Amino acid sequence: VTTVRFVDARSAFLGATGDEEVRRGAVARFELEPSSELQSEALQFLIDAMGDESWRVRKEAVARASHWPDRTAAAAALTHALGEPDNVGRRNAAIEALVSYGTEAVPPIVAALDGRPEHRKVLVDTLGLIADTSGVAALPPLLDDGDPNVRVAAAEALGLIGGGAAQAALKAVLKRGELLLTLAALDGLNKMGGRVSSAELMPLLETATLRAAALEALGRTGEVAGLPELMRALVAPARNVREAAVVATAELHARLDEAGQKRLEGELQALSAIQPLVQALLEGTLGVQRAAARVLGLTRRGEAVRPLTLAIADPELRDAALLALVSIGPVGLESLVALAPDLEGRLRADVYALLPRFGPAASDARIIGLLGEALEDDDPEAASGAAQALGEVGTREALAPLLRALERDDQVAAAAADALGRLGARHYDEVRILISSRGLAGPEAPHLIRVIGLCGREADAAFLRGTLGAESSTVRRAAADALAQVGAAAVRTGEGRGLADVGDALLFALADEAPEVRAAAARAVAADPAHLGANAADGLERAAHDVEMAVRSAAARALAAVTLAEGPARVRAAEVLRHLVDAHEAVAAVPALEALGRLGEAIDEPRLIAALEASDAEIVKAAARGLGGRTSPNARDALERALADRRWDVRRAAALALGEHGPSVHPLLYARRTVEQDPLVLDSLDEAMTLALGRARPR
Amino acid sequence: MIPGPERPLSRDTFRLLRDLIYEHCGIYFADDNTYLVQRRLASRVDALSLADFMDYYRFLRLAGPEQRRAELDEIVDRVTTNETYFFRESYQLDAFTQEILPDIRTRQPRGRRLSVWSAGCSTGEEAYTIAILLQETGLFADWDVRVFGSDISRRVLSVARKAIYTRNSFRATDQRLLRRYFREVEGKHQVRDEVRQLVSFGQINLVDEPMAMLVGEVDVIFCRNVLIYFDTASRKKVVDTLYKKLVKGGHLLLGHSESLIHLTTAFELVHLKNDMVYRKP
Repeated sequence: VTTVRFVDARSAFLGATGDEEVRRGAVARFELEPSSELQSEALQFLIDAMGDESWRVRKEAVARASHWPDRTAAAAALTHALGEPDNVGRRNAAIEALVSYGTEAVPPIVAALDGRPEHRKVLVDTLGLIADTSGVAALPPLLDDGDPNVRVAAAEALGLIGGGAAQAALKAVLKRGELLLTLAALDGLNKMGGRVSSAELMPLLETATLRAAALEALGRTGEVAGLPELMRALVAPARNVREAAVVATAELHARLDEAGQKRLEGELQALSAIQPLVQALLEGTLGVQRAAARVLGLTRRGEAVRPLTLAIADPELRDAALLALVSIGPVGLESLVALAPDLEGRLRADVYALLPRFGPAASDARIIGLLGEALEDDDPEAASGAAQALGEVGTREALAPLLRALERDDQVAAAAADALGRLGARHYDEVRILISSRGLAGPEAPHLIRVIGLCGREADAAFLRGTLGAESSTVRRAAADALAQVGAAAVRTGEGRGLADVGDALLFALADEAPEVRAAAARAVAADPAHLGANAADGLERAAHDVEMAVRSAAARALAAVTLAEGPARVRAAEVLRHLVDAHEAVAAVPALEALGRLGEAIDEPRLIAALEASDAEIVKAAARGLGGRTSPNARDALERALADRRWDVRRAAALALGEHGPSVHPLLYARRTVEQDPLVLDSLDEAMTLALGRARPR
Repeated sequence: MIPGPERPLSRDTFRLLRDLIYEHCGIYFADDNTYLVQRRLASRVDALSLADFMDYYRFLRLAGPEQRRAELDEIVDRVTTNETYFFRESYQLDAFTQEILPDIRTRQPRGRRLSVWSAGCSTGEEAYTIAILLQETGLFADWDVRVFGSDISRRVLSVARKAIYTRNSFRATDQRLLRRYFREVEGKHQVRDEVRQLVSFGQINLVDEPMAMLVGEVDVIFCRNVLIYFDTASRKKVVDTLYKKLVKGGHLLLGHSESLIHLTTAFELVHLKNDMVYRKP
């Protein structure tokens, strides 16, 4: 792909009326010096191209215009282009480009509005889409414009921009009695979350057209004065009104103080029927459904439990429904327990897992008993859900059934092990005695070891070390994994000696004949790298050359962890990582490069740069990521070369890494943009340019 | 079992195979070992449906890396002699328990930590013997004690981890120790958990120095009847590795027919009451 001179591109464009790809290419690839006297012609060429019949060509023109070096000139030209009524495609493309400029596009638009042109509605709409507060001052006068469309557009734009001045202007409009303008103002206030008093809203509730929007605003008043109106609206015949009331009720509850909330909840509990709420839960848009779930929960009524429980099956509604069920309180707990056996397996699992969220009531012996029985549920998911719940609310009495559940299939056994691990945090001695008395024989042994690991007690490290010598490789692996848990716990708390006393055995496990044990041992080393001795790096170096890829990978990651931790093996581990980079095997070199990149030592820069030449794309990308934080000219040059790599993913990684180099790389990213064809890379170049300039990316 | 056809092993093919095995693990067979190699590997030629040893050699050269490695491991399992038993060479063990261990208890070279490496542990009898002796002395009850057992053969390590032994392994075991440290399992004897907990096993080729680095610093190394498998160059490498892993003042115990003559002068030979052992100065 090569660039072409602007004049040639324009000729090609004009001569290719039947070939959209040639026209798109001409727009994408022309090159022009920023100082060229043809700048304004080129800009006009782009604006003309925005009116092309092909959306691809228009899109390309917008993309180029969005990154035009002289934004002031471009914003003025594009604003002027908004005044051409004959080509809707061009107008929309120009709006899109202007929106991408953000604040910089506001002055020419405001200046254009001063002349009260015919197309001022378009200008107002564009100000709204830019949504920059510098555009607000120009809009209030337009609320009195002679053209009702302009008045409504100004209200809408103010709603999109938001802020105190916009809110004040819109609130003033509410009293004017102009229906569509009032509606636009209400919508705008709702969009910006503006607050209007109940007293101001009450008169508007009487107008059918305004009622839904006024109800929505009522939800934000934080006042109980509107409660009777809200309750009436919850059972109103018009669906849009009911749904607006549902959303407003949920919103209002969130804004009220405790006394107000109690009063609202009292009103809801006194509702004659909750069927309209259930209907909103079933049929509303997602926002309405979530609000309906919330309001149903606030009714504290047992009959709300079933629809809410069924709503759990909807992933979008799941969280809201679970929260609502909990907010029903003890009545909900009773209803749930009664309902559970009739639900299908997945829902039973959810219900069991939810019970702990009912607080102390869920620790009732009856509930614990039910969960204990549910551990024997034929459905493994349901049994797993029960195990999870017992882990949270279970008492000593739950230990025995959970221990039995370890004998079930893997899914249930794993959930039971997790639960025992959680119980171990509260009843450690009992859990350990049970495990000790049971012994580590049989297929449950790995699960029992996992439990010990989850308890995260340093005191168990020596026991787990002994288990590293077990006959079964599954048990040895579980022991190494459990040591990783113990190590991670030590890192979390920052206390104790972590794995310091078992370091030798852990490193020796890297010589285990079973590769899964070696990999697990490497992961355990990575979990607590600071506590291991200076020889850890040597052991890991050997493992990084293991015959099994999984071990090499785990060892390289462990070396990376050792390098980035404060421990005696740190320096040596970094040396090993450097060798791994030079060996060019992706599985080890990638984590090595990432760690060296994060380490930030100058000595590694040449290595990272050299790795950009590796034949494996994963290595090259890791090197690019590592160079992202390094802003030396050499790093920049290397990444610039990588921008021209034949592999799109490498170009993408290089672009993103260059973005971290700041404003100085903007021109080269921009230049690359003129020749890049891959849409993902183009996207990354845009992202990188935004990053380089320190801007939030335009939406 | 029906015996397979006799597989002749020419001198040329023996040398090719020998070099291959040496390259893989450092184990070296002198020319007079042709019969041993032929006897132990003939069944592999049959098992792989190959025509003869030359075909077997070609298979080893041309197979994919994983298949090749698996077969070389199989060879290692077959050509190394693994016969051993508990409490073997008692005079040396007496030196260990009566002289070396009390010395360590007094000097505490690594604080209250003691590590012993059974390098070339075969089926585990030596490693467990060491662990039992450490318990028997009662000198290290409140110490952090570890025994590391390593061998190149996966097969013997599998036996070691099971820790179940037949009568052959107990030809030199006192009945009291048998009762105290073993339990009966279907007519065999298994090492009790309290002893097994002290021992870790791993697959280590002693010629592979980076691999041997997986063993931390140790106080005593038992490397008995292992050096005999290596040629002089490999022996030097192995001894050098053992030296590096020993703590200053640590002891190296070789088999009764082995010595460090012509290999290294780094160790000092110490005349104990019960045996002569090597010590890192």
